[in-house]
Amino acid sequence: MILRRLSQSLREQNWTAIWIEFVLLVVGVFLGIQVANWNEERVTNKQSGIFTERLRDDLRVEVWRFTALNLYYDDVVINTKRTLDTLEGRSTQSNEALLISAYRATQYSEFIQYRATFDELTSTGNIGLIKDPSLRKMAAEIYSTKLFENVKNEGINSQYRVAFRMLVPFSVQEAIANKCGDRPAEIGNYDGIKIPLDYKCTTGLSQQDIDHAAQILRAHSELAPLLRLRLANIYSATSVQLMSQDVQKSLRSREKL
Amino acid sequence: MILRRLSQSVKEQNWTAICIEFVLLVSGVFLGIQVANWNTERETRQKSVVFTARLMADLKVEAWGYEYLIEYNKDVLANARRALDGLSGEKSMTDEQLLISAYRATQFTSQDRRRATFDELVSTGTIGLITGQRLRETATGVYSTTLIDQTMNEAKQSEYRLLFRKRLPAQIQQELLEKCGDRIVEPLDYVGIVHSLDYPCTLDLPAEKISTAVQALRSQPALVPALQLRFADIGTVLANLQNYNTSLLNNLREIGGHK
Repeated sequence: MILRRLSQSLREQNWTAIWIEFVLLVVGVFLGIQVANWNEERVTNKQSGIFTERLRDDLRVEVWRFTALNLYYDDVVINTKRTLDTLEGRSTQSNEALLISAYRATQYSEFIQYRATFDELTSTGNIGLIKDPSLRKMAAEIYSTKLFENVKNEGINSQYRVAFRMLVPFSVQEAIANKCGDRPAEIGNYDGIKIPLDYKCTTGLSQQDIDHAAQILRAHSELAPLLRLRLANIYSATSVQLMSQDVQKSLRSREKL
Repeated sequence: MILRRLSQSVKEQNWTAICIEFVLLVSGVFLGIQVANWNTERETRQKSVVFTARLMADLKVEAWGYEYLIEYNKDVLANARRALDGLSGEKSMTDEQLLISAYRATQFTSQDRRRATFDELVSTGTIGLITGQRLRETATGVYSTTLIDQTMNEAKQSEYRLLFRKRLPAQIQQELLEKCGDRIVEPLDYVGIVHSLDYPCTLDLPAEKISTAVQALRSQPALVPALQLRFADIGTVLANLQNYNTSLLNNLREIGGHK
C-alpha cells in the first residue's frame, strides 16, 4: 500500500509525501526485522539456559569422576608402597595381606567421560550459548585434558601388572579379585568412593594357597624394581600440570556447579 | 514560509491510513520472516525424526554387538580357565578337550561398528537433531569408548596367542579353526551369541597327533604364565564391559530390547 502510494506520489511529484512514505518504509522494514531478531534472541536465551544446565549436569559427573580417580589412585599408591616396603624388608605383614596389597597395586580405573553436551556445542559452533566464561573454560580444559587417559594407559601398560598376572596362580588372582577388588560406585555417589580399594577384606583362600602365592612373590626379585617403576609412573601421570590452577581448584572444591 | 508549507503538506496526509499501513508493513515483514522460520523448523523436525530413527537402528546393532562381546569373552574366559586347569593337572580331561580349550583361549572377536549416522551428525554439526538427551548420551558413550578396540587389540597382541600359534603345527590349527572355531552370528541374533565359541565339538584328527600337539604345549614353560595373564586380562575386560559404566550398559540394553 505504502509502495503504491509512494509511486503515485512520485508521479504527482508530491515530495513531502514521498519523504514521509520513504522514511516510514525504511523504519517499518527495520522494525519488522528487529522484532524478528528480538524473537530469535528470546529463543536463543532459552536455549542458552537449557544447554548451560545440561553442561553443568555433565560437569558435575566429571567433578565426581575427578574426585573418584584421585581417591582410587591414593589407594593404589598406598598398596604399592605397602607391598614394596614388605618385599624390601622395611615392614612386615601377613602373607595374605601381602597378596592383597600386591594385587591392589596392579589396579587401574576405567572411565568414560560425559561429554555429549560439550561435543554438541562445539560441533555445532554453539559453544557461545554458554555465557559464563569460567564455565566454558572449565569444560574446555576438562574435556581436552589427557590426565584421565594418561593414568589409565599407565595402568594398562604397567610391567608390574603383567608380572603379577603371570606369576600368581589364576585361582588365587580370581579369589582376590572377587573378595578384595574394586568397589564399584554409582555415578555421583560420593560416599561410595571414599575407600574404593583399600578396604578391609579376606580372600577366603586356604593358608596353603596363600603361602604358596606369597612365596612366589617374595622370591621374584624383579617385582620390587617394577613396583618402584609403577609408583614413579603413577606420580608422573597424576602430577603433570594439565589443567590451570583455577580449574583444578574448582574441581577439588566442586565450586561453580 | 517553507515551514508553513511543510506543515500544511504534512497536515494534508491521511495519518490514520499511514499508521494502519505502517503497522501492516512491520507485521508483514515480521510474519514473512516468522513463516520462513517456521518452515525451517518444520523441515528440521522432519529431519530430526529421520535421523533419530536411523541412529536408533544403528544403536540397536551396537547394543547387540556390546552384548555379543560380553558373551564371547565369557566363552574365552571359560576356556582359559579349563586350559589352565588342564595344563596344571588340577582337573583331568582328555588331550582333545585340553587342545580345544587352549585354542579357544586364544580367540577374540572383532566387529564392524555401525556409526555412519553418528559420524554424519557430528561432522555436519547437526547432532542437535537428536533431541533425546539419553539417546545422545548413549550414542556419544558407545561411539567414544575405547574399551571395544582396546579389548580386541589386547587379545590380538596377547603373548599367549603368539606362543600358541607359533608352536602348534598348521594342520592342527586349521582343524581347530574349522571344527571348533567361532560360529558365525548374524547381527541382532541374541540367541546365536550364547556359546558361539564354547559349544561341543570334536576334532577329526588321529589321537597321536592330538597328543603330540598337547605335548608341544606342555613343553613350553612360558605358556602357563602367558595364559594366566590372558585369563586375568579377560577378567578385566568383562568387569569393564559390565561394571565400569552401568548406565551405558542399561541404556544399550533398553535400546536393544534386551534386559
